[in-house]
Amino acid sequence: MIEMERATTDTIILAKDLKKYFPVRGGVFSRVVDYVHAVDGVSIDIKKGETFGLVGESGCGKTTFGRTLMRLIEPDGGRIVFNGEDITKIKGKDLAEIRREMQIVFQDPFSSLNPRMTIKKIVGEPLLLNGIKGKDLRERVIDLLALVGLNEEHMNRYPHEFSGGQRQRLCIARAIATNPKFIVLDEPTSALDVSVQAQILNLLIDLQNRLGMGYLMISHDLSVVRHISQRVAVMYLGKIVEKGKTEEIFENPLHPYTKALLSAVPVPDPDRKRNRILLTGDVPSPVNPPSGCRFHPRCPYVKEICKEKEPELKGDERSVACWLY
Amino acid sequence: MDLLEVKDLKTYFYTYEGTVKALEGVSFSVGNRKTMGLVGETGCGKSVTALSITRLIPDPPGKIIAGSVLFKKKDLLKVSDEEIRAIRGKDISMIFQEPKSALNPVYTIGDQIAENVLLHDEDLKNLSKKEKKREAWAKSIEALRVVGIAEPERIARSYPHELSGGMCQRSMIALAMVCNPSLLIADEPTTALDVTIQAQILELMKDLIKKFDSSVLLITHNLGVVAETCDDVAVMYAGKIIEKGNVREVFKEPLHPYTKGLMEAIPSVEKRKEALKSIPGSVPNLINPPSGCRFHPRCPYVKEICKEKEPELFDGRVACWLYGGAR
Ligand SMILES: Nc1ncnc2c1ncn2[C@@H]1O[C@H](COP(=O)(O)OP(=O)(O)OP(=O)(O)O)[C@@H](O)[C@H]1O
Ligand SMILES: Nc1ncnc2c1ncn2[C@@H]1O[C@H](COP(=O)(O)OP(=O)(O)OP(=O)(O)O)[C@@H](O)[C@H]1O
Ligand code: SF4
Ligand SMILES: [Mg+2]
Ligand SMILES: [Mg+2]
Repeated sequence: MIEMERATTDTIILAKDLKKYFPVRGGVFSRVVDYVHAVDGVSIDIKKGETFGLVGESGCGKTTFGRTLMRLIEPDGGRIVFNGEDITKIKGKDLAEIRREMQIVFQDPFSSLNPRMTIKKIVGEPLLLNGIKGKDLRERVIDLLALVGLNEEHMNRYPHEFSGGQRQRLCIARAIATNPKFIVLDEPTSALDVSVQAQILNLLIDLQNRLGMGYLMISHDLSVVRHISQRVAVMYLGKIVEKGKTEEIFENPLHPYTKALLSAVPVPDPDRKRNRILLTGDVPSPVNPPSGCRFHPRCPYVKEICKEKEPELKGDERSVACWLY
Repeated sequence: MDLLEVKDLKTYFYTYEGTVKALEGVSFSVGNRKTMGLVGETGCGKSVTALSITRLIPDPPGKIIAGSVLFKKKDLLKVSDEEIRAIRGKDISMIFQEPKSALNPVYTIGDQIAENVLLHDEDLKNLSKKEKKREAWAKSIEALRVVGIAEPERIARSYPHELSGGMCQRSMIALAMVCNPSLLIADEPTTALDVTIQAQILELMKDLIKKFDSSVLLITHNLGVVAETCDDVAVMYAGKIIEKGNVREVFKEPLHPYTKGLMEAIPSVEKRKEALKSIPGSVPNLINPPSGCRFHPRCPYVKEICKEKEPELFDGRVACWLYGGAR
């Protein structure tokens, strides 16, 4: 298989041309009238012990990609190879088996925690599935809570009794409980103050160094992505528009969307006035994406060809999809 | 007099393990046409402050046990339930921290925004029932458009679970801003937004202030956002305000050791730091908070007095024994 060839032994997970379309219903009979092209042919590979950053416009398909990668949503095209095994179509027991080795920290912590379970049960559940019981279970739960900066006294509380950031840390504790091989981190620190964020990022890096986990780090906080990931992909409307080593992307962004994104990061200095690249034009629709390059209606450098033909993602280590290059 | 004056607010939660003293005497005010930033450690009481102002604290287990919240000279803690309901959504509106769970899963986005317009919009008063409905729907579509939602007509007919995190957040913002509130309380309004849309939303808040003389209380962990949008800032730690001031003042010269630690923990987009600094020690327990200055077990400058006596907010600027009283 071609895909397998690219999956070298140090690749933990690989997606090839992954697609996910959501039906849009309309009319009197609620028929499917169209599709949201949420993920439209995305390929990435993540190595063991690597953190791969995924950034991009809100609604461009990052969460959908992360969930599809874990088979929490069924893909509509493409393949997924996890640890050398094609998992695109596996079912039942095999899927359950694989799921134990992958975890996800969901973007909205509140809605991903069972409101009727205590913290002890929530964090202990994955451990229980792995056969850890009784006193060992209790001790491991206390350890995990301590790792994320919570304590024993929180064990018998329910999710609604916590602050946003405390809930987010519960999700992280649950995800790392069984030392999985791969974790999707969907905005894992968005509700944390910068000091606790630093503590959590250091914890994630430390776990990775010790256990060699692979991370897919989805975040709008570009400074966090810069800090934690070795490689980054920038998504726009269901597609990757630029990909490469973190330093190179941040030092020398090529795609006009990446440039606009980096120019808009707020800096913690009230006297600094930044030269923001303002994106004009309407936010495009994922149902009927613009012709040619999907960014062309908002691009300051647009040329004739951009409107007609779609640029391919070119280059291997450092790749960009734009007619300027 | 300022639009909002919060005085000595105390909110406790009575739980099985003991009393969680979430707010222990919080005072601050938000001036007319001003944006006030509220920052601080996770779990320090920022959301509880916001919920106490609007009287949305779940009771039981929560209770506002002391203090006052003067809004347009009226104490919100004393008005009737009916009155506070009329104020919420119209005069004061709120963007909740976890948008996906704050929106109602069984109604479409458009219906939820239109509902708010129907309840509170004065312009609709003299219309017939049918016209009202049509007008409210049109207003909700427009509200979605201004927060940067593509195809607002389609999204208005969608349910929250069909939207991305940032689309839910923007719907929440549209819902909160559609009636041009005098006070907007925004609890982490941009956590799910990319930086370009974030900039657009922050501009929108500035417009609200300019056009409708509104004020904003902005709760956020993003110190870059505070630096760029707020006039004043208050820093909270373990249920108390420990530093307060004009944004430039506080960012240029943070005084409290906690604020200093916070500033040092910010990762930079411009340069990768070797390892991120964090404030050593753990978040204090609010059932049995530390004696004296609540930050003392983690403070690098701790003195004898810090363990015994609680520092007040000296000069209304900083609550720390390094700056006041017996030095
Ligand atoms: N269950 C669903 N049904 C229909 N459409 C959906 C569904 N889930 C997601 N979508 C659509 O797919 C697109 C991508 O959504 P996704 O949640 O992946 O975005 P995202 O990149 O994670 O955005 P954000 O940064 O705002 O979280 C959006 O247009 C969204 O409306
Ligand atoms: N219903 C409740 N029962 C018991 N304790 C609660 C309840 N709601 C909040 N708390 C506690 O009150 C404290 C303050 O919570 P709050 O939600 O205000 O924090 P926050 O400053 O908004 O934090 P974050 O930045 O993480 O959102 C926390 O320690 C939290 O555990
Ligand atoms: S009062 Fe003392 S312990 Fe508290 S912050 Fe100041 S120096 Fe540190
Ligand atoms: Mg998302
Ligand atoms: Mg909060």
